[in-house]
Amino acid sequence: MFDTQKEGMLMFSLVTINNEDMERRGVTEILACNGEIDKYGLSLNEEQALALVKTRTNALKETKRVEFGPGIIDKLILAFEDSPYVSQDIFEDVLHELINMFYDIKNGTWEKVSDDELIDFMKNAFNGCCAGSTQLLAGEAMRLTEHIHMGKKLSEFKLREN
Amino acid sequence: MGEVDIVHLFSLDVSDYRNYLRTIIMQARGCGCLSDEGFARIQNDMLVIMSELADRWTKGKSSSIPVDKAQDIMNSIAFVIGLKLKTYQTPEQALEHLNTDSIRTLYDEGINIVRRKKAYARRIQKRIIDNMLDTPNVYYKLTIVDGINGFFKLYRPQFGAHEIHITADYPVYIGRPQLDGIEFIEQYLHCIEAENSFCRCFDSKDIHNLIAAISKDYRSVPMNIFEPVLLAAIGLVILGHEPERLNLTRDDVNYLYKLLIKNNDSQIQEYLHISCDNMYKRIRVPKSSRLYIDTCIPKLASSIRNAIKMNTLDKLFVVPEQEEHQNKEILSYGERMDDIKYERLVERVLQAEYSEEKISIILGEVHSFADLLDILSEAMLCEEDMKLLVLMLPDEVKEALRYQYPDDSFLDRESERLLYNALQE
Repeated sequence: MFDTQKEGMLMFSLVTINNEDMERRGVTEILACNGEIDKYGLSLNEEQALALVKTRTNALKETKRVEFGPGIIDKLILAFEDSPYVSQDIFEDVLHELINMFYDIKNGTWEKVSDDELIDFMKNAFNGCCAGSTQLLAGEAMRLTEHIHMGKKLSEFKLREN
Repeated sequence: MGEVDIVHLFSLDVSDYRNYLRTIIMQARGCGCLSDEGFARIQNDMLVIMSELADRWTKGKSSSIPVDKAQDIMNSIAFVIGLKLKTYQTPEQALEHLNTDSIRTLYDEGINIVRRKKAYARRIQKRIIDNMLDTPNVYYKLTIVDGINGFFKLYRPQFGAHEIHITADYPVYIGRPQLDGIEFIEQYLHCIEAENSFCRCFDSKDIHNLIAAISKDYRSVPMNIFEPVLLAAIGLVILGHEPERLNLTRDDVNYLYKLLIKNNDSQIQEYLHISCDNMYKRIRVPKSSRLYIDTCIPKLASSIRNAIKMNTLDKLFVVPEQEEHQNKEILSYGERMDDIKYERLVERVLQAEYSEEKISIILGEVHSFADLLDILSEAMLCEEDMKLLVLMLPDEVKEALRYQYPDDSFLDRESERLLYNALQE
């Protein structure tokens, strides 16, 4: 027997989105990147892939966002594969931080910056003025959100000089 | 042969009607008419539609959206499907289609209904604008023209079909429609059109005299114009007078009190129905307004009954303002200039550099009290301009303005405060 009242409340709620299914697809997409990142001496196993997907799920919950389609983890992986500041032993940790940061910045920039533009910004900042520091990258992200809040465009934003 | 009594599986009230899809699903689940598989199919199909709409909302540039926006889109989809389901005669038929038709088809057909309703609402608004009452009440014009235009500008059925966007400040007599999105706007405009068409049967000056007796500052009060007009007309008909001038007297109201005090609610309703029929013999009231008035009668009767109990019948059956209090000589109320001419005039005043030039333009061009009030509010006159204007105005107009602004209690705008201060000097 079901509780119709509760069911009515949840009927069109986003709780109904099937997380399990999304996570399974997410893992497959991450593992598919191995063929590409292999040439940089990087790889992610199934356990790591699942952990990254879980981080994404939590980040979405914390930032009160909902994701459709393939998501951004594979895009982040491919954007950071050739970073001079990334090696196999820290690759997964960096990705966890980047995933968390991505949705935060997304909210902070009021939907004014597309996924690809944001990943480009993160990559340029990480490889440039932040010299591989995710802490410094968070600072640059803060500057970017302030820049956007002032009504300016992403193209007008200048990264801090080294 | 008697009518067939259809036994309904569902019983829907007004609030259910607002969330039609959800209510039908909940009730169908409750009585076992919608299986787990059927329910899951509806949910999944709606999620597929939502995912497509989310992609369109981000113009394909973002794979994620805020939960609030996603929930909005989901509510919008439910509203649109609900609109389609409402076209079926009974909730049971709606459920049958929900069980058998594709959710995509129901949604697409619902969107077509939204589009048709939107076009229809635009036509109603145009008809109303072509037949606006000549009243200085700012809420009336602001809501019907600017407010509704704002709705059409902001309304995006794909992402927020259930949203209203505007505050719809002008109150219709029957009450704010308990509906969402385009259904709300359509119903709201229907009410305004019916009220408007009725009020157009009377002279704008007589309406002004009547409403001014309720509030001297009715220009800036969000109040319904139709109610006092209808009641004045009905009151006159009850007493066997001609209703056209809306000119009840204090004696008339006292007599109405004596006449109505012995009646209960349903007797008053009966009285009102008969009086309206008599009124229609004397005034050509459009059919849509007659039907609307019919729906207002229970509320009117209840208001009358309460007013009798509270001994405030004179607040319902209003005695119009006396002629000597009105701004009648120098500026008429009814000869307003057309909108284009008025906008050009405002432009000229705004562009004029010196106070003398501004005042000369206003005095030369403005010939109606309503236009004067409008331009005083929109021409961004400074303190010096306002003082000079008041100095140059004929005494009768100054008197009328003092009457319009008797005290400084509700002066929201800077222009009103400047005018009020200038009038005190």
